Amino acid sequence: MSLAAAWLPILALHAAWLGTGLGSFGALRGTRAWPPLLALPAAYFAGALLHVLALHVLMLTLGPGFPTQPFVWLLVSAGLLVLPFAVWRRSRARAQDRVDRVDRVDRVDRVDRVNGVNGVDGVDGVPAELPRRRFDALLALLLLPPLALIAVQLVGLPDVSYDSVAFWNAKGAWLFHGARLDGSDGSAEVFADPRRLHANPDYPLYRPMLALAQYSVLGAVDDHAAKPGFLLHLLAGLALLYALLRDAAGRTAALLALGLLLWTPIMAAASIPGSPGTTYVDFPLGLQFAASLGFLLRALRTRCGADVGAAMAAAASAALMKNEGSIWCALLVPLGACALLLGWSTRRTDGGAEHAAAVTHGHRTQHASRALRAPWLALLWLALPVAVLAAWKTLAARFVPQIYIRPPTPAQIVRLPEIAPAMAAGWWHSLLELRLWGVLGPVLLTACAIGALRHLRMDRERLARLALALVLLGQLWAVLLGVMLLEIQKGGLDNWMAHAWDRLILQLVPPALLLAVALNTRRAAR
Amino acid sequence: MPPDVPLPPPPAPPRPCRALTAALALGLAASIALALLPGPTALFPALTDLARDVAAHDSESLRREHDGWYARLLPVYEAVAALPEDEPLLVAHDQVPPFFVAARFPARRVFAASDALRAELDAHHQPYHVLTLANGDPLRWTLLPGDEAGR
Repeated sequence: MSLAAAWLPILALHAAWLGTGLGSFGALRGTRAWPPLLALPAAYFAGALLHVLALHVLMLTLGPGFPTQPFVWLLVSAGLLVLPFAVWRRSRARAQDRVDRVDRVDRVDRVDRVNGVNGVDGVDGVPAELPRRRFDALLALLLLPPLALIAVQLVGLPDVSYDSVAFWNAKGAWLFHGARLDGSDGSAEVFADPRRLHANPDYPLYRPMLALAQYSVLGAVDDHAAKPGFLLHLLAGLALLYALLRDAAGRTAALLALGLLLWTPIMAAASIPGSPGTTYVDFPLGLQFAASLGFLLRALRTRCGADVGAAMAAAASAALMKNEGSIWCALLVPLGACALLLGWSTRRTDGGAEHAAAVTHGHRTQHASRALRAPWLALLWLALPVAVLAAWKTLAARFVPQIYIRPPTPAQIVRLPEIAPAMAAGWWHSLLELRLWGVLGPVLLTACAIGALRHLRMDRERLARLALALVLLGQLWAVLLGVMLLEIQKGGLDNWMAHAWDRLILQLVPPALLLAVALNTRRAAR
Repeated sequence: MPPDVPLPPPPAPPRPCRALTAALALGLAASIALALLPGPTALFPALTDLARDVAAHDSESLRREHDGWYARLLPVYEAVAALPEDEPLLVAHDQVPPFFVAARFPARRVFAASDALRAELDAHHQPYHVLTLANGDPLRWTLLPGDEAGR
């Protein structure tokens, strides 16, 4: 199939993910307050997660050799049918909200004009909006060259990188050809026999399921024709990151931060495994990390259950993308719960959530009073990544004979300090490598450190944000620990540093960027 | 309608620290400068290489290279399909996972080649085939009976 002909079915698949997300998760009342730039990519990823989960169930329930394509098309058709209705419903709800706030809009505009909301910054009614908008437009234009470069690399070049082909696409092809996860056709034997497998048999199947869905709508295993789908997936992730950065720190800071990220050399270097110009899963995984943190930071402010839900959906997606996602979930769920308990138990001073809910939803009195309460039931969303992770681990235990890193013995733990200096030196050297990271490493490290220091006060709201920062720090330590254990158990630290380390850093860059911005931003109390 | 209550104040605008904004702006400017100046981070050579790579591929050669891993295996798949199903197949190359063949033939016994396994098969007089690279060329594959394949 030619690339041009592939765009239509690929677009249909991705539109179906959007429709599925808007029709299910996007139907939650709390998401109505989200601006479209936040709601659409969030719904897209929710829909993708639902499709991936549905495909897991299908793989378990269908008989061996049963064709997958009709079921994928069924899911796609349902998503496409729901899409216009969900868009119409959301538009109608937001239009109704606009009507409801007509009597308040003058007041809001007046206050916004004084305080510089939405790019309006002026004194005595003199708007300073135009220069700011022009500057932001210039920043947006600066994003285009690296985005175009990534797009051309992603779609135009052959997908010959090893992990993409050997780990992800091959598994997708195998599932497409009729293998199942229930073991009835010998697939469990294939999974379970280490002699028949390459490394990483325990990697989860989000990415192979994406490939499977794309092969199914294309009607054949065709990596080249499927590549536009990975571009759409990446762009949705970048849009979500921008929306969360903008939500945390405003448009200008978000554009600057995204520009800094996109102009980093590794982003435009398809020759480096793991860069966004390849179809490796590491950068999309980092975007899910950032989404889970960003929505939790937002939930601290808005006290909206839908924000918690979106954060946990992103965490669940991360858990199904790679084993590092499991670690992220294990850190995010308890620390996220601590952050929400701390943040929501404080008396509000900025009134942001109340206002947002009151002007966005109808019946302002109900919402004003409702928004003052913390939606404690929203904590139930924390069970989502736990359930997904538990289901995956249970399933994987049936066909994964070994894990990559074995639980350390006491003797191995004693050896860790011996390796730590080399590990730290290698990490530091890698992070400061100009060819890969440009100036990103020093900027992020400094900003995160200063931001964390600013939050070291016995103030519940600050401590809540600091708890979320600990997720990133914990993930970094877990990765360091994992590589040190690999060195002890299997040897070859230099090999790990040469072939995998940059990708492990790349996973942490999007959440670090978001935290660097969010921890150094405050919302003025009124 | 419930009784009206005073409207809460509007949302406070985010106020990023000026030092953060300055650091982001300087970082972005430095990144763009690094991309434009000659050196290991220069973007223009990357663009030139990319344009050359994309332009060098007419659709047919692009497909051939792109489908590489599968296309190289297609003749092998055909040969494997003709083999008796009860004969094990050993894949003898570190960088090529037996998964490629196992994925295509889930019911077939496909193993990574090892001297121990081959000795075991030889001891049981079990016929088998070995999939290996022809002269080490990653683009060419060959399928040999076990007794002809060198160790």
